[in-house]
Formats: sequence, structure tokens, C-alpha cells
Amino acid sequence: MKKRRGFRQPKPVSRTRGQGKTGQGAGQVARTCAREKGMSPAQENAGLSPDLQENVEYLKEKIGRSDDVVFREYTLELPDPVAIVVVFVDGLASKEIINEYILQSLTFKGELKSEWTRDKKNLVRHIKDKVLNINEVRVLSSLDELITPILSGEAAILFDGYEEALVCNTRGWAYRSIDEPETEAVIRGPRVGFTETLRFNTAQVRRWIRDPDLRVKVVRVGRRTKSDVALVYLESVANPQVVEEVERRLGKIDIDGVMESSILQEMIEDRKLSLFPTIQSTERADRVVAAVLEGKVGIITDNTPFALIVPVTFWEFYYAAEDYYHRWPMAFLLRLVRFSSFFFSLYLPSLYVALSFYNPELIPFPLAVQLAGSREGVPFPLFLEVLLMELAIEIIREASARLPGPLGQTIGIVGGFILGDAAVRAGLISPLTTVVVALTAICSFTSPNFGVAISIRILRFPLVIVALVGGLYGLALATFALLVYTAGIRSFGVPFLSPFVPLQPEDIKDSLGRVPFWAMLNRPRSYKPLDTKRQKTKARHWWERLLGR
Amino acid sequence: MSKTTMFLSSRQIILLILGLSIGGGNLLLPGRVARVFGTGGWILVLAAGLIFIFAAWICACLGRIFPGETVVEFSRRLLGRPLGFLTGLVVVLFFLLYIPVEIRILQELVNISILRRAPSWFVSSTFFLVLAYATATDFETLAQVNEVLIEITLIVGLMVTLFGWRFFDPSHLQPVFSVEEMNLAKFWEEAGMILGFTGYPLLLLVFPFVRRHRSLPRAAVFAVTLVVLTYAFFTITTLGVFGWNEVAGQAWPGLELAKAVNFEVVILERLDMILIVSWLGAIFTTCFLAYHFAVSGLSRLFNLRSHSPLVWGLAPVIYYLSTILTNYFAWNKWLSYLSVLAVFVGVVLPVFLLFVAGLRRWLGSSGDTGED
Amino acid sequence: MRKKCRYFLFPLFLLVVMAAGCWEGREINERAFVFAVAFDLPEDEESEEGAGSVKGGNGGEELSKFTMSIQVPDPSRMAGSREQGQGGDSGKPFIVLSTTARTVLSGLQQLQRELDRTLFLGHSRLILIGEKVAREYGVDRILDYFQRNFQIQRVARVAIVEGKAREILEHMPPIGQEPTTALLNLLSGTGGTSQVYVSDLGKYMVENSNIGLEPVLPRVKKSGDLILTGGAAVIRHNRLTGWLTPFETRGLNILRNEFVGSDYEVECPFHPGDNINVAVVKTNAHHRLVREGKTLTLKILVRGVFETTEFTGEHGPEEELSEELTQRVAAEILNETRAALEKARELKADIIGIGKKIRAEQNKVWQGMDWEEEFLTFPVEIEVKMEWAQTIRRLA
Repeated sequence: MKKRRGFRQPKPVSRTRGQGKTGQGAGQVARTCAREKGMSPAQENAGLSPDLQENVEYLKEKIGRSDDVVFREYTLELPDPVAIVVVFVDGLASKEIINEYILQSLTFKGELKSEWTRDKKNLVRHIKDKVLNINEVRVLSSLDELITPILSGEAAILFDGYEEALVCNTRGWAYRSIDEPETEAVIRGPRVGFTETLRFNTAQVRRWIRDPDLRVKVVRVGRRTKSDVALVYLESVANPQVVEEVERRLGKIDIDGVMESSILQEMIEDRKLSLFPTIQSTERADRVVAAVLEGKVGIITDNTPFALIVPVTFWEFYYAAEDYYHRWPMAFLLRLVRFSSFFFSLYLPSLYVALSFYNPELIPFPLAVQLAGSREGVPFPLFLEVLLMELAIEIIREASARLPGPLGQTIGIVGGFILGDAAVRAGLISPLTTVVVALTAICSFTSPNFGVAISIRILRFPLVIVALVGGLYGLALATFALLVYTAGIRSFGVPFLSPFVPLQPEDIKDSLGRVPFWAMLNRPRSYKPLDTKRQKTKARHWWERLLGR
Repeated sequence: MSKTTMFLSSRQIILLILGLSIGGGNLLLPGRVARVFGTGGWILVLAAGLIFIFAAWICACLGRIFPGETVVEFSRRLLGRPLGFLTGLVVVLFFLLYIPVEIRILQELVNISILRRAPSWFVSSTFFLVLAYATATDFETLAQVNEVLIEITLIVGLMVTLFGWRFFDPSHLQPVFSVEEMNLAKFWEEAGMILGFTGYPLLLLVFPFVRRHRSLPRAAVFAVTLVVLTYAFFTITTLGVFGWNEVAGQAWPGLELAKAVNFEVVILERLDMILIVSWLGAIFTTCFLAYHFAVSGLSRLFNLRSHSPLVWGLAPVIYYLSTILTNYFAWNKWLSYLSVLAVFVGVVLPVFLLFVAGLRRWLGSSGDTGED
Repeated sequence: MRKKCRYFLFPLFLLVVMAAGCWEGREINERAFVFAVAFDLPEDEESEEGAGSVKGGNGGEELSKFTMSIQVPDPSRMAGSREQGQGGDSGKPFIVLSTTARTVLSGLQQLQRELDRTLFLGHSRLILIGEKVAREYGVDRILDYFQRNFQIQRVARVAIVEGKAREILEHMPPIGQEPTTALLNLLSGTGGTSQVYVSDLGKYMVENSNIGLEPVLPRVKKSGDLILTGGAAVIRHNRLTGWLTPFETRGLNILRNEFVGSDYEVECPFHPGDNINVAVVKTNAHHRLVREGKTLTLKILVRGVFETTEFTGEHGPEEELSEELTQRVAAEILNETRAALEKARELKADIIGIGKKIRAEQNKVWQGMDWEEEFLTFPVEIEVKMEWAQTIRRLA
């Protein structure tokens, strides 16, 4: 008997699975099945025994007598009939494939071309090579190795009297069709997003990048879910250290299940307690492609449309995919708007408190008088007013997110308009506070990435307190502390605030604004790509371009 | 990821020197030179600057001779154990004593403008907390934060200075030399101005972390030249806008300049507040760099492993020192004493060390551990 | 170790936050913005000894009192009027409070006792000094507090009031809500008449500190129901010594290159009795010290550009007019500048800055001069060269 691999060792499944046509499977999604059935790691690796019944019993023992696992007994009508059993999970495996390409082939082809039937010794290999017209068939000789493929939708064929089994790719379950991601919609640009199926997602990346250097490396994470996680990167561009580090960190994860890529995200972040996300997540395929082209690593997880991108800098959370599809003046403006709204959303409430409380001389006189007049008779101190309003906005936002579609919008309107207006009319809060808080809320929604917007929203509350205690001075100190903190963060070795801290003059072209593509000759150096050249053309000076030379 | 020792590029060294040089004292500089030198104050800035440029060059040359060592180690090798130890201690002391007075300046700045009547313990202790937090992080982060803060400060300062040119009156700068206005006897009182130039002694402590020692002298000279030119420009503008008599009467000519060029249409009405807030950044960089170099020098002096406990350990001492300096005159005197130390560390010591090193080499292979 | 230190930070920070008070912080509606300050001599019935002690000055170093008035806007009325239309029937949207005190700060403190809101000077944009105070107490004594207080902006306007300063604070302008904004606009010289000397606190401080230059402040006057600006007050040795008429102020503005453009009426050279209005758009005065033999002379060359704006006669601009007209305009301006110079000599105050020029360029000469005396006789030659330029819209 051969020496077999350890049970829990992640196995590169990728090469064994194609993205061939996986027909439309019927029935329920059998994802749950795999989760229910865990296998005790202590058990010894069992080889296939020649006795079919024994094998079947073993499998039934392992997978349990779950009703969704089908053991189809069948007999090969050979001169010397061989009993076989086809094992698959109902709903995960495509019934049509099993019917048409396994059972039918085995039935009819056996009669027509019987030459292979004579070679009894190599029967299994012959069936693989000559009978089954399925794109992906493997020969396995360990029972335990069979289990994961079966549970992930493949069909296993066991033969009576043979120590080998065939595993055929028969995956075909119900899936969502590719459509535009709602969270990252664009006006111009491809309207495709990822879906829950890993293979479709990696295929999408391939469709964009037809480069032989594109690597799709699959790692299995999750003791029980055994989710496939694919690393996507360009071999000749991505920094090998980053790729290695991603693999190392993924390998270190020991968790029972990976429900969503966010779990990976939290497990492999540089600073586990970091307030800011140091890994980007996106639903858009084109973003992953763009990132891969820049030399970053995309991490695509099975069962979720959200892919991760590492490394990432802070500013990148404010880049939208669209920035690259609009013409550059538009993109430049959009970026500037977004970044200024970032500063507003972080500082506006606290500046409002600090200035009106300590330094009204900084507010222009007419505005200061307006402010003072509008606050006449308001029962709360200003900072409390701001904090309460901020809290109210958060509650409204959460409420409208939880409620189903149209109802959620109603909540937003009721909360925003009616409540705010009524509160102002009742004299509970001053109109200017409403303006400031509403403006802040709107500003915080301009962030294309949800994760960092949340960090900013969280930060706002302590900043208001700091502004109350220390005024502008406190805000300045808080900013310094924040700067030191964020400058210390690394995302897979890349400084979080680059290209500004440390300064990478070349990368600034694509940061607070975006210059035209012809001017971006190099890939961002912050990510230390192997190949820095994006365009091989020689750099022309701007005056040469102006003169049209 | 992997912890590798960080190497400083020329650009970073320049910015480090700028970061340590440009601090709270610069807002006072035009007033100081006006009091001492009258209308020709900017000449004093340039003249003093030339000396320090030369001294910085010598400092950097030491780095080429002893590429792998800091002053703590090579002075021990050159001067022998006790004397070398003393030298190291003086250098560390210079950095260490710089911090309380910077904190005092900051506190005064904050108390006259942003946070009136806030007790000094509040202003200095909160600043100190943030300072210690920053210093306890690694040097790489510090260098990066320094970069961004000093750039912002320089841009805001330059903006204010350029706006000031609207009110520039060249006749304020004449006569260039006028004996009636000069008051050289006051120099001792205003000696604190020297500290604005002496950021470069940090070179003595960074030699092992420099990537290319060959370009070190050029970087050092460039940095100090930049500092000197910035100061000269700032001084000329301030003198030209106000006239020396007015400047001499001002405690914070820099702030007055910003107040003079206020716009009435900007949302934040006052440019001086923006200058102050960004100058807090400059003081912050000065402090954490001084703190870092003091602590790293100390840990080298006593062969300590990690410097973070030292940061927290020294904190009460520095904080106590800052409370001693109760008013302007107290910290001004402190600045004067400190400037003597600065001249020693920045000019006398490098020249002397270079001389000794040259002497040793000239005496031939008399052995490294030698006499003395 | 490092980690632990960091966690140690948070409770420490919390402690600081807890212990912190709110220093000078106030809710914005608990502040009273002092928008303008005015200084007068106390009324005789208020304090009898006040004026007396000044004149005599024999009571040792006892400081005499002045009356200080502040104008505080009522925010609810100012802000509210927008909503309720013109709800100003209840009165003015501001209040004026007065007190007598020896120093500004003590005056403020006395006023604070009358007001439940904290007085806040960060928005003070106008400092009005009554004529008598400026004459007898000196301007510096009043302005000292404003120079030292960091809240006060250097762009705050300072003006000397002919008459009582308080009256101006109480005056309601025809357009607008309170007099201060109106007055600020008037004093900023936006009217384009160049008859106001545009100055502010910072400029006054700079002028005051210059040797060989006496400061000038704008003049404000209340006549009937109106506030009038125009003209300037000459400060010498820190006290008001005299007034410049609007005419002389314009001359001064030209000589000091503060000119913003103004209109002049000139008699038409060809049609006696008809007037031509010209707008002098800009002037540039070039000061030059010339040594002829032993004597030093200041030559001031004023170059300017004017355009014709109005003809009272039936004729329009003609080419033949050019030379004559140019000369007449030049003569007009020369007149004005001479008048300014004469007035300066009369007041013995070098408001043009001739001394400053000599000091800067001929420092040796300056050292041996008694400028106070020599200013009166120092030779100054003014030459005016005008140009007819700019646009002509109609020819006939």
C-alpha cells in the first residue's frame, strides 16, 4: 500500500478541478452537508479494500447515514460482471452528468467496445481513459481522500474487487448568476461582480488577464468547511515576499469554518486590534484584476462574492473602480471630493465643538452670531447635542439597513427629515448642529469602501470628547497620535499611509487625484512590485506632450 | 513582517535635521535678531548659518570616518573610556534638556491662543503623553511621521511668509548696518536663537543607520542650508513687514506676521490659528526626535536592550523639568544655557573629535586603544 | 513590555480627560461678542475729578478715568430677524453698555458685572477713540490692551471720532443691522474716494514704531443722522494733534502710495465755465533723496493715470484737450499733495515718512539731525506727471 498524505494537510485541489461546464444542478444547496460532517482527525488513513461492501460501509460510517448522500449500486455488464457503487451528494452533484456521462457511458460503451473489458487488471484505468467522457477524472486509492471530493460535489465510483476508485467532476449546484454588485455600482465600467462560486470568480480574473504568469493558487482553510481560498497574482509582478507571507498566514489559520472572507481578513491582518482595516475587500472582479496588475495579491474565497486584496494602503479605501473608467479630469475631481469629504467626516463635528466652545473668533462673525442665536434656548450643551445627533444618525442608518428594501428608505426619510425637522422646531437641537451632523453623515457615505467608513465613524465620537476637553489643541494632539498610530501600521509590509508617509513621489500621481493613464508609466512603488514598468514607453516630459511632439 | 534594521536615505536625513531644527523657537527668531542686530538681523541669521553649515559638514565627515558607530562608541575609542563616556553623556543631555523647554514654549503658545487659561499641567501632560506614546514606537515610524509633519509645517509657514509680502516695505530693512540699533550686549539673552540651527548634531547618533555615507556630508550641508535660508527668508519678511522696532517689541513675530496677513473671507477667519496648529506639529517633531535620540543615546551608553522602558522612565524627569520653567524669562534663560551646550555639541565637539581622529591617523598605526 | 506600556496609556489618558475642566470654554450662546469698543472722556457730572486730574497732571501718577462703551449684538434678535421678517420693532439688534474705568481690562470687568454672558473680544473689529481721549490721554494707553491681547486681530479698525464716540455705536445705519459693519465698510476705503485714510490696528502699530514717521488714523464724525468718514487724525507723540481734511487726506494717500483712485473736477481749458470730471485711476509716488551740494532734497515724483468721465459742456473729449487737461489735473493733484505737506508741517508731524526715508538711506545725515525741527524746513519738491489714458466710450 502506498504511503498516504496526512488527513488535514491542505491539498492543492485546484489542478484537479476544471471550470468545465457544471450544469445546472437541482435541489437544495448542499453546502450545509459538508459542514455537518466533520471527521475526526485522529482516525487512520484507510486504503480501499477490494471488498466493495466494506468500502461502502466505511464511507457510510464516515459520512454518516445522511439522506442526501446517494449510493447508487450498479453492475457493469461485462463478461465478468463487476459491481460498482456511485457515491455522490444529492444537490451538489449534477444529476444529468451522472446520468448521461457516467451511467450511460458505462452501460453502452461496455457493449460496443469490449476490447478493454478483457483486460481485467487495468479495468479502472481503462474506464477512466476510454469510457467516461467527463472532463476531469482522477484515480484515487484512499478512502479518506474520497470524502472531501464527494462532499464538494464530485461523484466517486467504487469498483468491487479493485483497490482504486474514480472521482469524476460532476459539480453542478444551484448558483446565483453574475450580476452587478449593489454595493459598488458604477456609472461606467464593467457590470460584473463576483458570485459565491470560487471557480466562476477565478475564471473571471482569467478572462481579463490572459497572461501565462497569472497564478491561481488554492489553499484550503477551515477544519470543517474546508473552504477553498484562491490566491490570484502575477508571478512576474507581485512581490514574492508578499505572496509567501499571505500563504504563511493562511496556513496558520486553524478555525473550524470560514463563512465569509471577513473571517480570513480578521485572521491574517497585520495588527489584529487595528482600528482600520488593513485588507481591502471588494465584490468587483475588475478591482481584483486591477490590483493583480499592480502587483498585489487577490484572495478569493469560496462561497462569498467578496474577494480580498492585499497589501493595501489607507488611501486606497477611497479609490473607486470608477476612478479609472472616467476621463481623468472627472476622476481627479471625484478623488478630491472624496478625500475632502473624508476629512470632513472625520473632523467636522469635533471642529464644530472645538471652535464654538473655545475659539469662536475663528468662526466668521456673521456665522458666529447665527450660531449663537440658533442655540438660544437649546437645553443640551453643544457637545452632547452633537453626540446625540451622531448617535441618532447611526441608529437611523442601522435601522434602514436592517429593514427590507423600500421600507428601509422610508425609515431614512422619516428619521432624517421628519425627526430632524421636528427636533429643530421643538427647540431640542439647533439647526446648525443638524446641518453639521447631516453633512458629516453624507460625507461618510462617499467612501467607496464600507470598512474604513466604519472606522472613521467610530473615531468621530472620541474626537468630539477630545475637542470638548482640549479644543483645537486636543484635536491637534489627537491627530498626531492618530498619525503615529496609522503610520506604524503595515499591510503585509507596506506602510499603511504610503505614498504620503513615507513619501513616494511617483505614486502620488494616483492618490489624492488621478493623472491620465499615459502619465502613469510605473506601477505604484509602495507595493514593491518585481516589475515596476507599467508602460514600456519612454517617459516624455509634459512640455513635449503639450507641444504635441 | 521581518524586522530589518532601517537605513536612512539622504532625503530622510535632510528631513530629520529639518524636523529637529524647526521647532517652537523659530516663531521667536525675528524678534531675537531684531533686538540684537536691528534692521540687519537677517545678516546675523546668514552669518550664524554659515558657521553651522560648516559644523554640519564636519559632523557628517565624522560619519565617513566612523561609519558603523555612534558618537557614544567612537568617542570612547578616540578619547578613552571615561572621557568618551562623558562626551556621550553631554550629547545625550543636550537632546534631553531640549525637550522641557520645547514643551514650555508649546504650552505658552497654546495658552496665549488656542486654549486660554488652561492649566499648564493639562497642556504639558497631555502633550507629554502623546509624545511618549510616539517615542515608544519604532524609529521608522517616527522618521515617517516627522516627514509628513515637517512638510505640512513648512508649507503653512511658507504660505504665511509669502502672503506677508503683500505688506513688504523695503525701507524697513534699511539701513543694513546701523550701529544705533545694534545691541550686541543683548546677545546672551537672545542666545536661544542658536538652537534653531542645531538640529544636525543628531547626525552623531545615526551613523550606523545611514545607507550611503558618501553622500552624508552633502545631505547635511543641504539640510542646514535649507534651514538657514528658510530662517533668513522668514526673518527678512518679518522685518520688512513690521520694521525692526516693532519686531523687537514682539514676543512671537511669527504669529504676528500670520495675524497681519489675515484674510477676511476665509471660512476659518484666522491664519494665525492655522499657523499655530501646524506649528504644534513642528514642536511635536522636534520633541519626539530629541526624545528618541536622547533615549537611544542613553541606551547605547549603558548598553541597554530596549529603549521603550527608558522612554517611560525618563518621562517624569522631563515633565518635572518643564514645570521648573515658570515664565518666559525662566525658559529664555534656560534656552541661553542650552545654546552653550548646543554650540559645544554642534561645533566644538565635532571639530575636536575630527582633530583627534586626524591626529591619531597622522601619528600612524599607534594602535586603536592607545594612550590617554 | 512595550505593549504593556501602551495599555497603561489609556487609563492615564482617561484620567486626564476626567480631571480636565473646561478652562475658558463657554457655550457659544453664553458669550457676548464685543463687536466694537468706544472711548470717551467721562461726562462731567459722572466724575468731577476725572478731567481735572488730566489737565493738571499734578496728582502724582494717578491715572485718570475714561468712559468705555461696548457694543454687543443680541444674537437671538440678529439671527431671528431673518425668520420673522422685519421683527425689529422691539428695538435695535444690539446693546451698548458703558462704564468709566482707568484701564480697559478693569472697564471690561465692570461691564461683565452687568452682563450674564462672558464678554468675548475675539470678534472686536472696531475701536473708536473719542477726540478728547485721544488728545488728552494718548492713543497708546487705550490701545495697549488691544495690542497685548492675542484675541484681538491686527486687522481691527481703529478710528478717531470727532465728537462723542459712543453716539456712533448707538447709531442705526440706514441699511444693515448694526453700525459696526457699516462703519467697517466705510473705513475700508471701498467707496473709492480716497478721502479716508485706510488703517488698522496692525498698521497703526507699525507706523507708530517707525522712526521718522508719525501715524495717521481715519476720522469718523457724526453729523445729524449720518455717520461721516473722510479726513484723518494725525497722532504725534502718541496724542491727537490735528485733523486732515478729506482733501488733504487724499493728498497724503497719494504721497504715501495708499491711493485707491478718486474723481476730480477740472475746468475745461477751452470752455471756461464748463467742467470736466476726471477719474484718477492710479498714482505712484516715487520718493528720491537728492544731494545737491550740501543740501539734501527729497524729490517726489507722482505719476498717475486718469480718464475722463463726465463733461458738463456740450463737447466731448478732443485730442487738443490732452495737453492742457493733463496739466490741469496734475496741478490739481500737486495742490492736494502740497496741502498735505503743508498741513503736516503745520502740525509738526512727519506723516509722509520723509524722516524714515532719510534714516533708511542717509543714515549718517540722519544721525546728526534734529528731525523735529528740520522737518519744518527740509526741502521737498513735488512733481506730478499725469497721463490721459484708459477708455473713452463716447466722443461727442
